[in-house]
Amino acid sequence: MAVAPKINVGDDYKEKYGFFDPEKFVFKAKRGLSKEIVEEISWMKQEPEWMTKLRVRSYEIFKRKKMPTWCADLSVIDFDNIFYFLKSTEKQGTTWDEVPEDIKRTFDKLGIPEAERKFLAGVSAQYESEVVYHSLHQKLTDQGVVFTDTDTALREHPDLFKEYFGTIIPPADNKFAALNTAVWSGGSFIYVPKGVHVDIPLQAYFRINAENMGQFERTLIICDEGSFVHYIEGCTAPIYTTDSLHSAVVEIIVKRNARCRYTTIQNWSTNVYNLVTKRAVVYADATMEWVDGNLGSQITMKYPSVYLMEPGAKGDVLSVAFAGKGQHQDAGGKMIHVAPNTTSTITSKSISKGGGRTSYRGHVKVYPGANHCKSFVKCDALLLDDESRSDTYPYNDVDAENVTLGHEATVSKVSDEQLFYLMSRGITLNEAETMIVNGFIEPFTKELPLEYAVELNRLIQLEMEGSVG
Amino acid sequence: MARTDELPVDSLKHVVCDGVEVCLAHTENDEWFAINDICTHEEFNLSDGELWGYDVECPQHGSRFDLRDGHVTGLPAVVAAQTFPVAVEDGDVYVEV
Amino acid sequence: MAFTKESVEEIASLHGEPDWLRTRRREAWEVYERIGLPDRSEEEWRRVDFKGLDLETFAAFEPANGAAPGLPIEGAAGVLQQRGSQPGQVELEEELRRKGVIFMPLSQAAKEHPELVRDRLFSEVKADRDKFAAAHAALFSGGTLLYVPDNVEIERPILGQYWSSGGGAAILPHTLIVAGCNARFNYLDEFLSPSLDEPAFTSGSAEIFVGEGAAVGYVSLQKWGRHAYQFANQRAHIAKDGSARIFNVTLGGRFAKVRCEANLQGHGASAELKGVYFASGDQFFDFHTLQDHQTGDTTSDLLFKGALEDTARVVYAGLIRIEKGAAHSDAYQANRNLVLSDHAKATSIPMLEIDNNDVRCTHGATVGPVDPMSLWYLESRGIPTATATRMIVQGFFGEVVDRIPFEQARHLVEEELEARLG
Repeated sequence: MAVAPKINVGDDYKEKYGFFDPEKFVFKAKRGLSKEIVEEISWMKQEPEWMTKLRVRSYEIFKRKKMPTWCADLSVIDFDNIFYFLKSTEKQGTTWDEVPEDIKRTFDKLGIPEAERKFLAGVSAQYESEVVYHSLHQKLTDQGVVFTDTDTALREHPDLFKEYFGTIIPPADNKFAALNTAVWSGGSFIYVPKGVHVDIPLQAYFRINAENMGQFERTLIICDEGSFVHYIEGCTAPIYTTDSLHSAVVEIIVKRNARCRYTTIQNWSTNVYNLVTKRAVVYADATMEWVDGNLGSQITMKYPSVYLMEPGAKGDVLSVAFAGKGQHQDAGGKMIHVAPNTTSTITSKSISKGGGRTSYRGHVKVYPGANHCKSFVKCDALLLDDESRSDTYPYNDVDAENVTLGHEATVSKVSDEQLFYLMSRGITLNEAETMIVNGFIEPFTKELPLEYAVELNRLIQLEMEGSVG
Repeated sequence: MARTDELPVDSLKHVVCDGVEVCLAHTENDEWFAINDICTHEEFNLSDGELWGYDVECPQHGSRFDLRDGHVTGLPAVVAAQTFPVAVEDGDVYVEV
Repeated sequence: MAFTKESVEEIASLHGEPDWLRTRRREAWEVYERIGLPDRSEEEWRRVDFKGLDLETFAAFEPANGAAPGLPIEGAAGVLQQRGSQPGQVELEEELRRKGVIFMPLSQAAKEHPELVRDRLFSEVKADRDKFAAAHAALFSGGTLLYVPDNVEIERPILGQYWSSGGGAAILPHTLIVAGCNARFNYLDEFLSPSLDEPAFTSGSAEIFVGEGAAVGYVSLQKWGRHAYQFANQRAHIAKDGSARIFNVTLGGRFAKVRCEANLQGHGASAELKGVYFASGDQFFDFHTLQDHQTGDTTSDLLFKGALEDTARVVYAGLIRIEKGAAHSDAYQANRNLVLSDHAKATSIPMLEIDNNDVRCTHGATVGPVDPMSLWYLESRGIPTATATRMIVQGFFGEVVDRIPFEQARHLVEEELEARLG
């Protein structure tokens, strides 16, 4: 058992992720949102007319739609105080030398170039509104794999783009999907051709640097028949006293026999509202796996969903949430069984500490005719003190025959017996609790590439130390 | 069910035929269609939505259906909507439910 | 007598009610007029379809008529039989009367024992919860007060029976049960009517006050005809070391929306909320349950089990709420659905809101068909499929029926389920 260094978690976030660089930009839209700003973003990006129209229409839908009230209190978000578009550099780099020095330094500190050298097949780095660095192994390029930022994809792959963009998550889906469609910028576009297996992960890193920034990346992943890809995203931001907004939309298409894994390690600073819509459609004998870790942000609302469209489709959500002081992690998953003989699992592990609140919110729906489906949902919550809170809101709708659906949840504290056992062996209370928490989320960490698992355990350790410090 | 002059080109109208709620559509190229007005996703009225060529879009969550055969052209709906034959005679629109 | 303000006054006058109760009815009526019908944007009503229900069309009062049914159980210690909206006839053992047990129609109790009724009536089942609850509080008629003084134990059950023979009317009885400290007894409410063409608007709400150390068993058996729309709120308020065992049986009605709630107010309080339902034809049932742990060292145990046939639809939504100070609480919640047809539809939403870490809290939900392995096992022993299926369904219900607080009701419910299995 390694002895953990005594560091206050707040200070450590600041040192490790919470630093900021002086703001430099080539273009910054004025504060707030209007039709003019939406059109300006589109004009800046020299987009085709259909996209400009779609953005403006989405803005109208955003204005019309009410704020959701079934969840955390979102009325605190001041949409007029946010910067919706900030372009930091004119040119996107394909080598780190091409990236402006101060931005490169940021990503150096975050360890991105090092990770890239060691174990990634491709990297995308987004700074504020746009992707500033991009790379993909030559071998994958030769195999026809496309991994680029979404703005570039609109220019270079217009047909593929138009065929799928907004068809999985239409702007009217929810207020934040409408907002994203109106002001989206950056994000990843991935196309994996038939039968191609991308054996090592592709990673995107999203960084907010400016204060009151809104980041609205848009990701579209298409896995053609029999292909495989593992996409990893990470995100951090500096600590400011006023709030930032991150509202992404992720659309994924997994065709017959393909498999897509999407891993998120969300570690926004606690002044970021993180409101994200993620949805995948999965066809015959294909698999979608969402591995979703939420540690940071002030409020997160995120329910990755899978539409199981054809027989044999499979969906998995593995979710971990950690809510410390002042945080509310409202996370979960949705499984929509449209076709017979489809299967799904949702496993949720949540930890609340220091007055934090975690909510599991999930939906399993089985449509008529989707017979012989199986779905199982398991939620475990760990409450580390009596100030914290845990909620479970699972919605289960079954409208077909021979469906087996199960849901189980438990809420508990760290058991005194376990603590006593560890402490009797000379381990401090804090270390013992950390060990128990790391054991509790092990089903999640073991699904991560080793480097990420190590990083996650370290983050948990730091969060845990905050509780005694 | 309705007079043709009640529905200008590129518009939708809610009508009830034999107790069935129907969304009547007059497309931009002057064709007439009838589709079950209740969205198969969360049961909002399609006639409050928008018309996009041959697609009707639900106002609530943006699901889309093809007016010609009711098939889903955009999520989050996944179940096709029922469509009905329409006839226009002497300025009157008839729907067969 | 239509659904009007005048009817509210008329019902109050008919029963010769005291002014405070008349005022309370008027206030409820104001709520009824002020608020609209619940709409589908509200989470609780999202899946609820009461299309075809028009409150304005109902008569507010149904006179007693038609042949009354027999009693569902033998040997009750007290019986109240209500026909239509008319306050019921009461029989109570003389010995219990001597011990101070009070058992009478609610409006009579309001006159004679305001100290028992006034502060409690509609304090747990609030009139402003929704439009249907407001209608119930403004227009309730008949109903029951059962008061069992401190330390009185009643061996045999008390029975309330509500019978309606007409369609087109509102039948709105209200049961108020007050258990003194260490009182012990069991109570059965039976609601029934033949199936008629004209719809009916019915309730069957109950407020149960469980005093310190008291133990109350309450069974509600709902067998309204297939023309009835039922909106019922059953809620127990449980004091220190008190225990309530509430068992809800929902079989009848075209539509039933039932809330079943335990308000655990005192240390050491415990609640058992159990339910069975059997939905067939085009029946729609909606159950909302609440285990509200307001204070520490409280326990609650909930199990709702049901079978669905034909095109029936059932929604179960339940919440365990553990308040901040409610340490050492133990709560369990489970909903099990057995789907016997291709077109039935089940929704299950078991929810937790936990604000204290020193608790034990578990819940689960299942929706599934008759287990093919069990079926295969029985068939392989030469049992025909239909019989085997029936045995499995009986076994499914057995687990919860065994938890009915008293034997007479247990037998009764077994027979009812047996009859439904055909």
